[in-house]
Amino acid sequence: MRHTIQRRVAAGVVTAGIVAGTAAVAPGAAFAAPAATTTSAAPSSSTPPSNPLCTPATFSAAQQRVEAALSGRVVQLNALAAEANNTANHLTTADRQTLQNDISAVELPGIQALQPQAQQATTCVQLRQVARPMVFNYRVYVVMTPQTHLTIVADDETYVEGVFVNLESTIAQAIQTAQSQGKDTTAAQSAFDDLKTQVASAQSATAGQAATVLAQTPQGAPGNWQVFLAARTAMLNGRNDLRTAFADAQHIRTDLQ
Amino acid sequence: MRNRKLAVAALSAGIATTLAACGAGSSSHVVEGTTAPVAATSSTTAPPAGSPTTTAPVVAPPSSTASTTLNANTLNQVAAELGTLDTNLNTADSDLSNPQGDS
Repeated sequence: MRHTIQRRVAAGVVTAGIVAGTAAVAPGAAFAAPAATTTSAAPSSSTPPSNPLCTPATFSAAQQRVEAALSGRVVQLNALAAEANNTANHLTTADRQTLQNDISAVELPGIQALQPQAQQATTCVQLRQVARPMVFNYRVYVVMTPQTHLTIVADDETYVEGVFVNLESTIAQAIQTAQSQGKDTTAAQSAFDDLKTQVASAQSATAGQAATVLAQTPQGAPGNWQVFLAARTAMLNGRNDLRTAFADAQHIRTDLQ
Repeated sequence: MRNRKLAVAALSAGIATTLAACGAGSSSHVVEGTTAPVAATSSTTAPPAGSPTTTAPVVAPPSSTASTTLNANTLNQVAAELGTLDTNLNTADSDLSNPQGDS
């Protein structure tokens, strides 16, 4: 898997070089370029540095790389489509439809339409006319991929928040019943109070996140990278809140036994 | 002791009903396959906002054995949901920490 990722990263770097300009450099130079960042730095801007790889002498190799880059994007988009179609997750109907449409009706046919053009290209100019839209029009890796996954997370968290919200009245009733029967429910009540606080915090963290993430477009890159990072932080915070709420529920259960 | 068990049973029944109600509408959802045993009492618990409304599931009557099992199962279901959430969150985190390309 790591190998696959590295290949995709390399392909992306090479592709960016093909898109960028016309000066001749050794193909190996692109592979020596920095690989995928291990931080959360924003991806390259819409005007990448000149690092061209297509010359008459290297055209064949460049063409193969563009074709591979296109194939990799098709694979990725099919994977994203499968995730968007998976009814085991908790995507809302509207969010699922939005993702399905963006992936399967816009991105995938767009990338697939470029594939024969890459195959038929005979010059570097023609190849760049394929590589450039592949990168800038579709942004498969830096927009569509995080957008799909973050939306799934946002809707998953919202679902789990609903589970806890529905538990609240039941827990309150159980505590009241135990109390009326003479049991000391102090600890259970304290845990319950915290549970409600945590759930409310999670709800606050995730509110509106799915809509914000779904509003991002390929044309918004690389600026929308910060939007994705902020959404990730909100999702992490919400998840932590829900984890704490779950621990509270376990404490309540134990205390009422 | 009996009273305490009844309280736990009531809590457990609510948890099970809530989970099942939330899972309704997702035929492949894990919760549906593990919904509580046999019908006895119907629930009035509402699904969360945004969830499709459906006939409320029913849960088993409280008994000490059933409630203990149900209790563990229902909390396990919540844990499973959180586990799925973790997995999805890790995937999203990986997209941003280790993007597969710069485009």
